[in-house]
Amino acid sequence: MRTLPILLIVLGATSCGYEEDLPEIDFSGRVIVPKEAATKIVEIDGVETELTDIRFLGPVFLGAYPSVTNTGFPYPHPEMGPVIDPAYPGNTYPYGGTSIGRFDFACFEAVACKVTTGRFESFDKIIEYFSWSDEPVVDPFGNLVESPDYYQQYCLDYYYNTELTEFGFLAIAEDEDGDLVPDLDFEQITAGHELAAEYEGDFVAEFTMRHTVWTEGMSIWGFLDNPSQDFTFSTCNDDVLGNARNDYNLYFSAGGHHHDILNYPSLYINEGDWVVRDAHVMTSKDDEPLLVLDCPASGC
Amino acid sequence: MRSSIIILSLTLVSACDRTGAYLVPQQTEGVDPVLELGELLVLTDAEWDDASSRHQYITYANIGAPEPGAQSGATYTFLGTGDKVCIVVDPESVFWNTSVATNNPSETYSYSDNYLDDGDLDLKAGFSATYTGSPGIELGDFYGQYTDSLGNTVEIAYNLCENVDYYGDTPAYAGKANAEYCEIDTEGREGIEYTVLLKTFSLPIDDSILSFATAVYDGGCRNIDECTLRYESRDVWVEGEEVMSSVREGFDELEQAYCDNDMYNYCMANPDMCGSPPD
Repeated sequence: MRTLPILLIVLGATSCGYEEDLPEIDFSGRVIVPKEAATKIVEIDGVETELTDIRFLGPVFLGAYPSVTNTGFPYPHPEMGPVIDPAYPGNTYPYGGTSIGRFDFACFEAVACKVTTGRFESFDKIIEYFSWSDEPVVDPFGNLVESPDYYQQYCLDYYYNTELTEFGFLAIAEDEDGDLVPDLDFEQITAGHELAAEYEGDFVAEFTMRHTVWTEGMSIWGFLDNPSQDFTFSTCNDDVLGNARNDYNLYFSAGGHHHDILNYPSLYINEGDWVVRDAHVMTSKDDEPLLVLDCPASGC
Repeated sequence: MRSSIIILSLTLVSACDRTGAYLVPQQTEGVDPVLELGELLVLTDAEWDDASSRHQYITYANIGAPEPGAQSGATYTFLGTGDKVCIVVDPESVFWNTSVATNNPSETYSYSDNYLDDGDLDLKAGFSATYTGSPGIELGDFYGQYTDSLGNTVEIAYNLCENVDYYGDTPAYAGKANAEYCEIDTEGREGIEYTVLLKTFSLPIDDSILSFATAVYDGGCRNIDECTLRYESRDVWVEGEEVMSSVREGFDELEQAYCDNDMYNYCMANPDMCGSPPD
């Protein structure tokens, strides 16, 4: 009887060494976003003011492609398959992809499709951000939301949450002491940072691209979807099915990503967005790409 | 205990009187399983819009059962007009679900459907250059291979005829005996040949021959239902080498009753055209 458990343990342990030979890899890297991409002129108390803030950075979409070319678009673009429908460009057939930040519903219809994760560490920051737009945060009764406490309580009720860390749109985490600390995707590169020599003042974020079909020589490329003048995003589908909110007297779509952003990136790259100029060509599974989004969508 | 075993044995034995062979399509000599209808002219507004004369311009055909393991269906071509065109197919005959609710059942659907006379065709279309089949010999599809610059091969769907389901997703199909349609924008493709593929999903059980009506007309798809294409349920027979057909008696009235939501009265008057009456 004693030998059976031992045999099972040995058997279980040997299975840990089983190599599945999946043709996929997980790899990590970093992206650099120029300071200019996070800078906007907004009106504060009637005065036009230039602000640099990571809240102006939308989601960064990254993909692994066969190659990236400089033909057909004003910016570098992944190679495409055949154009079948004249209304669409060719499919880029990516091997994998990821994003830095995603759209999340921040409780009020007024901000549906306008809030990216990893950009706001408090309700106060959300209220302030939208106060710079023509459409500040309003509640379902049409009242201006100015109190972070009201916003927080509304969200706790709306999602039936009990902890602030449960909100995907709030970039906060618990530290070792159990205190809530900001957990933003981007960090501004300051003096002393290892990248400061070349990118001081710009912003850096880490990414991990999982389950990517490994093909030696594939190019890692991406773009930053920055908010438009009215603080909306081309990559967000405000009529997406499957995310409809139906709560008593409220009925609306909370928005979600378009499903083909990596396949047809040119459909979503507009004025104000930023594109990776020099794609990273993967020569090893251990590569850690450093991608610089330094090409404006208008051309480079 | 012993009686239970005997009852169980008898039950099992009695189940052996059904082979299910009637569900297997039988080939009819002379009725081809793979049809090529040639080039169909795209109907104009004048030809299409008048419902009373539309049937003169639409195409009727019959698909036979294939050999076991083979796929049956039909193909035809049309030329792009430079405008949106609508492709419609309506397989025989009319299908509905029986209303079985114990409270407030819908009287309209209280008779069951005669499920033996229904077939199903799935509609696809694309450039003839991307069609992989051999018209009239073997059915293909609209798939191709694309090899990227690193040598990886992916399959490309070249089907341009996208049907959208209730949730806006593709691909979607209309289901048994229902009219299926799609719109293709041929802007900039005037004179370019398109192929329409009608793939058999199921043949009617009663005669293993699937009759259908199909048409392509200029302009976008609009207000298509079971009565858009009429007279598609047909009796088929072979004379010499020629396949003959005529509209199944009473079918036009059944179809009209379906479109008028008046099946209950129709089925009461014509029980042989419907399934079981309500309990």
